[in-house]
Amino acid sequence: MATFLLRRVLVALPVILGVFTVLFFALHAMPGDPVDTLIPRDIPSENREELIRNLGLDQPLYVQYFKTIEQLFTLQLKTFGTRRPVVEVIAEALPNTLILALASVAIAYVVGILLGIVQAVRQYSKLDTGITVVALVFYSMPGFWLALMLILAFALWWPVLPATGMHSPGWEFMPPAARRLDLLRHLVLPAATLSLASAAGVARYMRSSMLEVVRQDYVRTARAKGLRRSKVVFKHALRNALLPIVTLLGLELPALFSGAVLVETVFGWPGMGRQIVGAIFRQDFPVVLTNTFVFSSLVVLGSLLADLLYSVVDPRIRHG
Amino acid sequence: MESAGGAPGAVTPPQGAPRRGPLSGGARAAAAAVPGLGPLLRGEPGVAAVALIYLAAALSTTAVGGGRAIEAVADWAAWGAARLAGGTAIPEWSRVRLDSLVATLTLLALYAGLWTWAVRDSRRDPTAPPARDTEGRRIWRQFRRNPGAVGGLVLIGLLYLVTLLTPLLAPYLPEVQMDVVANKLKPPGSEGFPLGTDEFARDVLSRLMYGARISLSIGFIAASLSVGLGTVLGALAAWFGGWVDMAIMRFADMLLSFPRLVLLLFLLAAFDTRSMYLIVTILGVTGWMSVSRLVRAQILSLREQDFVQAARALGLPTGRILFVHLVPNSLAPVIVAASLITGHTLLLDAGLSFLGLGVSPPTPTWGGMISDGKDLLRQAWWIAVPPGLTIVVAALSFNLVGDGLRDALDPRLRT
Repeated sequence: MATFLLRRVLVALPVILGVFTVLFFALHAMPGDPVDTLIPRDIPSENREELIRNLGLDQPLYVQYFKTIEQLFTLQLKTFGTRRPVVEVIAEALPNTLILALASVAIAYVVGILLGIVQAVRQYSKLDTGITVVALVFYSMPGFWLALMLILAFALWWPVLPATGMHSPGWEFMPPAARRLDLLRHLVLPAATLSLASAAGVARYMRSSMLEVVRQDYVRTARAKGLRRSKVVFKHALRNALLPIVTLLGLELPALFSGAVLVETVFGWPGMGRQIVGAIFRQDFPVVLTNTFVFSSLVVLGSLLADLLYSVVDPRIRHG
Repeated sequence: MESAGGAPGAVTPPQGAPRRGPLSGGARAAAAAVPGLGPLLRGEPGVAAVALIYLAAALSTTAVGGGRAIEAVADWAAWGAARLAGGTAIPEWSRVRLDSLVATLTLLALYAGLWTWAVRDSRRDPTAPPARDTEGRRIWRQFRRNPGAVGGLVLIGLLYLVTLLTPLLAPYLPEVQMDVVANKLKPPGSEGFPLGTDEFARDVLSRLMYGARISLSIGFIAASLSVGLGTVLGALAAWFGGWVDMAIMRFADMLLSFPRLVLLLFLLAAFDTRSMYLIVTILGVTGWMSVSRLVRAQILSLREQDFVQAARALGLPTGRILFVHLVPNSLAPVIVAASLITGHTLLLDAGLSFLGLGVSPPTPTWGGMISDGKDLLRQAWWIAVPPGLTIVVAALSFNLVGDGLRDALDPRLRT
């Protein structure tokens, strides 16, 4: 097991480093000067040159490249704008993104798996067709538009939930229980937006995977022994049907983060997605690079986790 | 284009109608000359109606847009001639909007499709026994059994029909601003504006229709680019193996290991004005990874088969073996992927426009319209709602067709 994990990490590292390298050189090759977004053009040129020197942008590209990598791993990288350590900036946003992502993944998988089971058990019924159609509609829907529609419905026309942000004004002075409730209320719409589309995907996979399992001999045997249908489905069939779904988790993560970029922007959720959009527009290279580095690491970590889970749910698979 | 050309066949001929024999003589010639006449003479009004509607659409669009199309072609020719003469000509073609180019090509494809179908249909003998059962017929039969897939195909046909007819149907030009004081933010159902107007007093319906041309063109061309690129790269990786395979597939892994939207943002943010050409290119070159994996897997499994060995033994050049023998045999999953990728690209393009990095305004795109309406949700919900609905319809159609094709191509996958 340990050797398997080690090998996976060793394979993943060059990929992550490759992403970083390509991004670094692409950022520098792009037209546009990050200094222009920091100071007006009519500022005396010696001040301008001083700023360029301070940011290290006057050095040869390969020097900058190795310096950036060194600073990235020693956590010394600073943003172009405020010169705060990037680690600090990202540390503020990372937990927020994780809250949103984990909540969405949890909702998507619980809802998706349940729907998939219902569909498989009632194959070709009206319920099955109905869920398939609705799932496909959500699957074909732009997430940011769904977000706007939810805001329109639940924050403007029927104002029950807050439309933007993560906290109400004055939340610092609330008692802990009220704070948590406040966060939860702010979480509902963004998490619903992010999870609906992926729940649709999960339900699709779960349905076909469950159908394949239900047709197998051991399930028929269990039924023939006289076990209740619910017991056969949830105890005997479910575990095997979950296998492909676990791999799906690893594949879904990049899409989830893509979705988070848009959804965080619409809802003003102070996470990494919104941060990276801002940093791209400001051409704040260190923030963009570190954010992508964290994103790709999370993706790799996610697929690693999916592989581990896979061996948990399927004892036949032993890595090593 | 294929869908527009192939759509007349999408309607089931009425089964109960009395069957008449093949057309002969003058009737056959007339049926070949006017698409739709043949079925009409044989007593198949449904098929005839669809064919005639498409013919009318094609003819009227040609009448309206023909001048522009000729201009566009002339522009291209002039640019090509200048280049050939050795001059460093200004790329005149960037003035030709991609959507008019797509419209022109779609129109030509539609004419070609209509008349090919008409000629073949005029010779058809409805009383003759069914021909040999080919793979194509089998797939088509499976596909037709799936009501969702047929519905998706019909919707795509309708969407392309509307985009063809947009210059005729749209009440205004998309960039036209009416008197802002009198006409801004009119609700739907106002006189002259069936879907209302936006902040700049532009007609929402007209923008929606012209936006369809641009958004659908972007989705279609970018997806084709991705699929073509993915096919070539996947084929090369599988055939050559070794470091070529390693390089291509690791690069694909890299692109897949972080959110594509972030990559797109970051590539597009560097440009001040973004033309359709730019958006299409960037969407196209960042979406080939899944196709290359599919093609690679297919070719790896086909590579050792006898017909490939035979081709090698005959001494055929590698390129010919790859692209004449191997790639066509691995296309089935690629076609499915193409349909799904088109739907996905539509959504991505909308997301980019929403973040302000799509085709630059005032060009109407569906995503851009949603973006325009996002800050006016409270006062004017009708700006942001309709383009979202049309995106859903378009993406849903492509997904339905993709699902239907997958089921039809691989009966094992039917659930």
